[in-house]
Formats: sequence, C-alpha cells, structure tokens
Amino acid sequence: MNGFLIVLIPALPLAAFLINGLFGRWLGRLGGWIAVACMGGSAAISIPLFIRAMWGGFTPFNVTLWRWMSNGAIDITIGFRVDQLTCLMLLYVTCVSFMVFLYSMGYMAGDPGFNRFFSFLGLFDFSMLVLVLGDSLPVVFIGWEGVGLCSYLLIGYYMDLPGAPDAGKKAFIVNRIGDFGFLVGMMMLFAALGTLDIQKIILAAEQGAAGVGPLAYGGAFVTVVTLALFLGCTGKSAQIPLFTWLPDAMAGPTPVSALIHAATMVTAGVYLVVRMSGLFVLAPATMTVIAGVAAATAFVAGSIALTQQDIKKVLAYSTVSQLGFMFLACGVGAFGAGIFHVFTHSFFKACLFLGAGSVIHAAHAQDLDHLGGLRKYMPVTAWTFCIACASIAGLPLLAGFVSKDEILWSVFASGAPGSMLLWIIAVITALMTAVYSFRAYFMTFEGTGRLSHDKQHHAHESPWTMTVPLVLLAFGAIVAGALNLPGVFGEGTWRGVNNLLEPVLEPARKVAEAHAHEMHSPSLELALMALSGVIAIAGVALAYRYTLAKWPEGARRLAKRFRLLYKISLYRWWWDDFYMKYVAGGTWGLAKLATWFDRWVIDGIMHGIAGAASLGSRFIRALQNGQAQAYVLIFLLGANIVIGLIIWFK
Amino acid sequence: MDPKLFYAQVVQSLLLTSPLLVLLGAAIIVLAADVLMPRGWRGALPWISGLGVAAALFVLNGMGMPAAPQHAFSGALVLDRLTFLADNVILGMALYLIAISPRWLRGRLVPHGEYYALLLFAAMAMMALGRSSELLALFLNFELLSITFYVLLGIEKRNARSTEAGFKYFIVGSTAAAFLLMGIVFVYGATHGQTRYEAILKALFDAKGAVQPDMFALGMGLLIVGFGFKITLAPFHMYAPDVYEGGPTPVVAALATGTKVAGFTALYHLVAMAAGFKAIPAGVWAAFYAVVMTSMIVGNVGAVVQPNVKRLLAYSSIAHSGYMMIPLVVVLAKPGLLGAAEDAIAYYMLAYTLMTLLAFGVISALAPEGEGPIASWAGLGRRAPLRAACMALAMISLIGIPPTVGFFGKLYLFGMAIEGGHIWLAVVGILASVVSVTYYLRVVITMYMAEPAEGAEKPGVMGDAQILAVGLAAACVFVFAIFPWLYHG
Repeated sequence: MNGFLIVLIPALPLAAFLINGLFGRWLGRLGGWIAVACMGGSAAISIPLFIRAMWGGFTPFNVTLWRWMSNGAIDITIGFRVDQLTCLMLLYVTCVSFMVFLYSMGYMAGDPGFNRFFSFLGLFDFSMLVLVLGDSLPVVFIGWEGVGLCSYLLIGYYMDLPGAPDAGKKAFIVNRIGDFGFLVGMMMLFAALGTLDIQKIILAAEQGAAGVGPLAYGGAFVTVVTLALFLGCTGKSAQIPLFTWLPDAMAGPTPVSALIHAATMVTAGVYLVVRMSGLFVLAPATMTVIAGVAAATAFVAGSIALTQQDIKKVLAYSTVSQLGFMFLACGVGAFGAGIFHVFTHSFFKACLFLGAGSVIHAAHAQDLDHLGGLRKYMPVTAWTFCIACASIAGLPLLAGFVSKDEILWSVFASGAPGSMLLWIIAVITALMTAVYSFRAYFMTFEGTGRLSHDKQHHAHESPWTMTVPLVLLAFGAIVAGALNLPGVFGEGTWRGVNNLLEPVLEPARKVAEAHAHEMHSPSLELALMALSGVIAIAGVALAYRYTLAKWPEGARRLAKRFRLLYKISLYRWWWDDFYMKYVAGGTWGLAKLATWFDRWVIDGIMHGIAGAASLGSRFIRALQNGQAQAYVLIFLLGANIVIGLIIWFK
Repeated sequence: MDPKLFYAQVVQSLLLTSPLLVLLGAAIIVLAADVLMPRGWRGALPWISGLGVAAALFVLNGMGMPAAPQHAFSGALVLDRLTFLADNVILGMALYLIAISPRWLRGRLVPHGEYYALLLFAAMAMMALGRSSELLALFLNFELLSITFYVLLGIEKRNARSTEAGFKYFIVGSTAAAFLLMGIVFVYGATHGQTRYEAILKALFDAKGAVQPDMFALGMGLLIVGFGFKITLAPFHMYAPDVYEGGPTPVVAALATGTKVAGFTALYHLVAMAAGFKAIPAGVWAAFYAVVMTSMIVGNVGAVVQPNVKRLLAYSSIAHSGYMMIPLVVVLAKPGLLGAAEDAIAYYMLAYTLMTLLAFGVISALAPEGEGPIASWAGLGRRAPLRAACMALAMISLIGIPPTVGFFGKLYLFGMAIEGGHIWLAVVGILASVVSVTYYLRVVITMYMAEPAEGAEKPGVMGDAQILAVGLAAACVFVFAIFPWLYHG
C-alpha cells in the first residue's frame, strides 16, 4: 500500500499532463482544475509522509518498480528511495507546486495556451518528483533531464514574445554543458563501482573513507567525479560559471519563474550534492571549490540585484545569490543547513515571485521605475510581499533569518580553508540581500505611484485563486524557521530538520568529524546571530533611505559617487558580454573549423559509404530481375555455400 | 500402455494446444458463416474472426506462462516461456490485421470468408510451427504455414501482381521445403533414428558418442537453408521484395511479422537442442555466421535505392532477421548464454512485430496510393497528419532511436554479440544500422519536407477500427520500451 501511494505522488502530475495534453482542447478551464486537484492529491500524500518522518516511527524504504534494462554489465532498475531527505523535499515540492497551480488558475485565465501550460506544468512536476524520488543516478537523471525539458518549453511559452524562444534555447544549451558533467561523473562512477544505485555508491564511499576501494579520501578519482557532478549542479542551479541563463529565463510566465526558476528545479543541484554528501566529503578539494564558487556567485548575483530595473530580474539574481548561500553551506560541510535554506527559500521566494506576478497581472508593468504606491490598490499582495522580503532579508525570527544565520554560523565555525574570507563575503551579501529586496518592495508598493494614468486606473487586487497562495506562502515564510531552531539555545533545543536528516547525512558527518575541527562557542554564536539581525535591519534602513526618503536625488547621488561600482552592478559584471564575445565567439570559430572538417572529412567518408551502399544497392537491385528461376538459382548457390562451409570446416 | 494414462495424456495435450484449437474452430465457423449467412451480413465475418482470436488469447493467458516446458502429443509440440510469448505476439498480430482488413478489402475482389478463415489458419500454423519440438511435426507445421500463405498471397485473383507473388512464394517455398526435409533426414540418420528434440539432445551428449557428427552438422546446415526461406535470410531472400510488393498488404504484414516470429521460435528450439555439441563450432557456426553477416549487409544496402515502401520494408525485414539471428549464432558455441538469448529474441520479436505492423497498418490505410512509389507519400505530414506521424514513429523505431522498442531490442541483440565475444557481429550490425538511417529517414523526409505532386488528393479517412489499431500499436512502441515487464514479466 505504501509503495502504491509513493508511486501516486509522481503519477498524479503525470495524469495532469496527459489529461491536459490529450483532452485539453475539450476540457478548457476544467483541465486546469483537474491539474490543481492532481497536485493537491500529491501534496495530500506527502504531508502525512513528512509528519511521520518528523514525529512518527519512520524507517526509510525502497520502492522497486521494474527492471528497465539488463544487459551484461548494465542493469537499470526503476525504483524510488524514500528516506528523510526525500520526505522533506516531497513536502515542499508538492506544497509549493500546489499553490503555484492554484495561482496559475487566476494568472493564466483566458490565455490561449491555457491547457498547454498546465500540461507542461504537470510534466514538470512529474519529472521533479522523479528526480527527488529516484534511487539510482539514471532515474535521477531522467528527472533531471525532464525538468530541463519542461523549463525550456515553459521559458519559451510565449512564443511570439521577442526573446522568449531565445531565452529557452539559452537555458537549454547552458544546461547541456552542466549535464555533460553529470554524465561524465555518472559514467566514471559506473566504471569504477559497477553500479549506479545511490545507496551502494554511498556504501562504497563509506568504505573509501576507511581507505578501501576506489573512492579513497582525497584521491584524484573521487575529486574528478565530484567536480564533474558539481559542474552538473552549476548548470541546473545557476552557479558561476553557468548562471547566466537564469535571469533570461524570466521571459517565461511568472508562475513558472516562481515554481521552476526559484522554488524547485534550480535547487536540484543542491539536492544532488546533499544526496551524494557522503561522496562529496571525500574530496576536500571539491568542497573548497564548491564553497568558493558559491560565495563568489552569491556576492556577484547579490550585487547585480541591487540595481536591476525589472522586478523579475531583481528576484532572479536574488535567487542565484540565495542558491549561492545553499552551496556555500554544502561547501563547508553543513549539508543540513543548505537543505534547510532550500526549504525556507522555496516559501519566501515563491511568494515574492507570485507577488510580482500579481503586480504584473494588475499593473501590466514590471519596471520598478514605473511602479510605486501600489499598496492601496492591492493590499494582500503588498503585505505578503513585504513579509517575504522581510524573510529573505533575514529580519530576526522569520524563516529566512533562521536558515541564513545557520549558514553564516556554519561557515564561520567550519574551520574550512579560507572560512573567514567566505564568512565576510557572506555577511556582505546578506546586507545586500536586505537592501535589494526592500528596494524592490519600496519601489513597487510604497511612495508615489509612477504608473501611467490608464494603467493606474486598472490596478486592482488579484482574484482569490492568486491571493490565497500568496497568504499561505507568506505564512510559510514566517513560520518555516520553527522546524529547525538554532542549536545554540542549549542541548534540549528542538532541531527538527537537522535531527530529521541525521541518518542521511551520517556518512558525511563521520568523515567530517575525522578530518575537520569545528568550533563550538555558544556565546560567539549568539553574538553573531545578533550581528545578522543588525545587518538585516541596517539593510532595510539603507533601502528606505535611498528609495523612499531621498528618492530620487539620493539614489542618483549615490550612483554618481560610486560610479564604477554602479556600472559593474548595472552591467552585470559584463558577464554576458564576456560570454557573447569570447565564449560564443570562440565557439563560433571552433564551429567553423568543425564545419570544414565535417564538410571535407566526415562528409567525404559518409559520401564514400553512401556511394558504396548505393552502388551495392543497384547491384542487388539488378540481381532482382523478377524471374523466379533466377531466385531459385541464387537460393541454390547460397545452399551450396552453406554446405561447402560445413565440409570445409570439417 | 495403460489406456487410462493414455487418455489422460491426450486430454492434457488437447488442453495445452487449446488456443490452436480455438482458432481452428473459429476459422471453420467463419467458413460456414460465409456460406450460410445472407450476403448482406458479411460485415460480421471480421467480428467473428476477431472474437475467435480474442478467445484464443483468453485461453492462452488463462493457462499462464509455463514455469517449465510442457510437452503435448508425446513430445511433438512444446509450450514453454518463448512459445508462450510468441503465441501472444502472433495472436496480437492477428487481431491487428483483422482490425485493419475490412477497410483495406473494400472495393477489392477478394472472397471475404476465405480471407478471414485463412488468416486464422495462418495464425494457427504459426503457433504450431513455433511450438514444434519434433522433426516431423516441424516439417508438417512448416508446410502448413507455407500452404496457407501460397493461397493468401494470391487471394486477389484479378490482380496479376498478387497472383505473381503467390506463385513466386510457392516456387521458392517448395525448394526450401526440399532442403528442410533433407536436413531432417540427415539429423535423423546421424542420431540413429531420433526425431524428438529431447531425444536428439540426449543422444548428442551421450558419453558413448554414437552420433555421427559430420552428418549431423550437414543436417543442421540444410535446416538453416530451409529456415532461411521462412525468415528471409540472405541469400535465401530473393523472393521477398517481389512478394512483399505484389502481395495483399495485410497478408504481407503477416508474412513479415508472424511468420518470422514462428520461424525464430522454431529455430531457437533447434539451436537450443544442438548448442554446445562438439561438431557445431566449426562448420555450422561458420554457416550461421556467414548467413547473418550477408543478411545484415544485403538487407540494409539493398534498401537504399528502393522506390517503393513495401519493397523497402522487404529489405528492412531481411536486415532485421539478420540482427535477430545474432543471439542464435552466439549460443551455438556458448550454450551458457541460452537464457539471455531467449530473452533477447523474445523481446525483439515483439519490438520488430510492433514497428513493422505499425508501418504496414499505415500503408494499408493509405491504399491504394500508398502502396505505390514513395514519391506518392510527399506532403503527407499535412495531408494525413496522424498516419504520417505513425509512419515516422515506425521508421524511427526501426532505426533504433530511443525511447522506442526498436532501440532496446537492438541494445539487447548487439549486447549479446559483445557478451558472446563476437565484436564484429556488433560492429557490422551497428554500421548497417547507420546505413539504414538513410532509407528510413527518406520516408520521413518525403512525408514532411517534400511538396506533394500537382493534384494529389487528401487520402480517404481511416475507419474507426483502423485508427484504434494503428494508434494502439503506436502507443505500444513506447509502452513496451518503458515497461518491458508488461511483456515478459
């Protein structure tokens, strides 16, 4: 029975996909409601599962579905693994998806591609849940590619919008580079271990920690494998150097941005690292790379978000920056903190995106310069947006504060190489987070309205299908932190998520304990916690000063005084231009070379083969003269050859 | 023998063969109904035949997949895992053909009663051939199947091409039968009068070594010549392009799929009997190897310049027979791989049948224009989108592109070659598959990228049964790729 229910979790969204894809034309709006109901069903299964994992007696189990292919060395079985980490992931993926589905009922109403949209969403959730549930790397990879496909389809959803199809292609191509890394890592693991079952890989990693088998601690092999896997993660989770696709992905409908490009898909990389944490900790060099890349990504993206004009772009860079925080936690070995930030982030970031969608829906504008003063027209959106901003900025006691502070402390206390530098970067980024999020809030909802007159006239609160998810998500953004209170409040403190994930992260913890020297100092931790609170409040104050109190002269003066910094941020560190000019340009040169090679060498060979085949074909056709006696003659010739062979080899 | 025991055995044998008997009964009912019913009621004939096949399927699956081989009629017929799967594929094929036939028969001078009855007889003969486990039964069933097809291929009496197809099949078929019979005689003589496979197996591996190995090897060689006709291995394939082109499309579909399923099942049993015998490795093995290589090359190369879709599929079927022989070549020398070979063949039977039936289903739904040159398929992507999509799917699966049954089928076959240590079989097979891309995709390109000729009309609409059958086959091309356990557990 249990297995059946687990299978239902991904099967229901798949049903939504099929129903909307095949019969959407006749179902219309009803198809959307069916999809919402399917997603609700998945959530209804996942919530009790999580409650049982958190509070009840729960033992992880496998659901083996079927053997897909077995051929000599290859033996791929489709199966799901349900452990504590899966339960946590299922909980937020299904809940956030359900709310986004419901929200889309309002947001996409009247859109000509309504059912197409819902069928893609269903397919996305199916893939995402397979990714989360998969018990072996190939199954995870099926989900991994599936979400990539849906992301591509949904970014380019508005096909006639300039740039949308290109943005879809960009996402797809950039992710290809990452997927290449994933595949290389997978094949190396298979070559070394002969299995791709995650549990078996972790088992082998535990042996490697003890110095047995191919996965020796700190060895070159395990370093290359984990780096290859991490390359996959940088693609999917938009980290340096592969993060440039995510801001462009905002060309898709806003619910898609909220679901795929903020809450769920982009966190798949973090999930993979945590899922394989037992393997990653064996490669300290990789861990250092992860931490460094993550800190750099968080900082760069956070600084870009400060000056972006498009509200969705602000949120997109903010997502990249927050993903950096998650990887930073993983890089210093605090996998639990990383996953917990994934969890809280999904609530406040989805809430922010859906709020932005609500604004776009009402005001038909997304440029911060043209918004403002919307709170009186759409109070629910404004308040929920404000709460989510406070949460991401890390105002004390909200979900974002709890999870981010945990990361900051882990970095500080980890004793990893360069941890002080990482910590300083992270603290500066935290300050920027508070500034850019409240800048977005103030410029959208407070102050004077800058909307054109007729747009102002139409501004209104969104329908209930859109505001209910907002309220629920805002609620999550407040209370989700309670699931994992900071450990500093004494031994007896209830650290739900950390305790929950303890069995999954145990192999990693064992290795870390053997090799790293973590700091324990409750008083220092409390002091730093206070510091985070102060930084958040300072950030909000800064945002207030330059976007409301001294608007617009103060902001202009600031931009003038820090001209270079302002330019760097506004032009996004020229990252895209660099890619365009050198990487794309270089690729172009390479492509020309490849074209030449293809035309003269490959085509030459192919034409040779084709020519030979075609000549042979003509010969065979000539033999085929239509006369039965000729056929029998050749038959007899063949028979004679067979008999001759037998006599010859006697 | 104790009469009680005797009767119990007879009853058990009848039970084991009940699916065949159900088909036989249904065929007789169809014939009787055709004579006795008013002419206006002829539309009921496909329904009666379909019900008969459904009943046979029901009876067969009611028995379930046998855990161990079960023998009927003193070891003349056998029901084991492979025959059970083959029977299912054959019966599924029969249902499919009955569903697409009425629309195809419309307006053609074909005696309906005989047509449906012979289709049922053919399906029964296929099952019987696959189940043969004794040399005489093998020959009888082989001939039973041939004779039904002699008639079926020429059933369109006023169509010269149809008559020609039947006649050519007859000429080559009788030659093949002579070789088969000669092979049987040699095996019989070599083993001092054994005809049951089990007894031959016992004699072959008997420590006393009374068997004459050279004679046995010669017998096996002649048997492969005979089977080469039935499963269109080159160079015994010459009849195929003409017969496929001229024969009635649904009949050709049965010839391309069911006949091969039966032939491969029977051949597998023969090979399983002889695998590992000391005289096998050199001579017989070389003959098998040569035939496989020639089939893969001739089939794929020959198809490149074919202007007609049915002819193209004839060469395609030669090539696929070559692929499907790979596991048999491998196990001849390595009997330890018999289980894997059985799995690979069982899966490919289904895969090949599905995609080939899908292609022939589309051709029959486009008749009579679609049966002509490929050029007449130009622009079909717009004129008949569903049929074009199904045909494209069939072609993609025949190439072996994932995630279709064709991909997994080939993966298993070529995997067998590598596992058995015959890298060259895999290399040639894969290179031949590369060549096959050119002609399969040519069909797709013609449908989607070529402009239709002036005055090309929209093809007639499909019948409901046709849509259902073709659509189901198309879905199955994916379903059995992703859920292979639905088929062989």
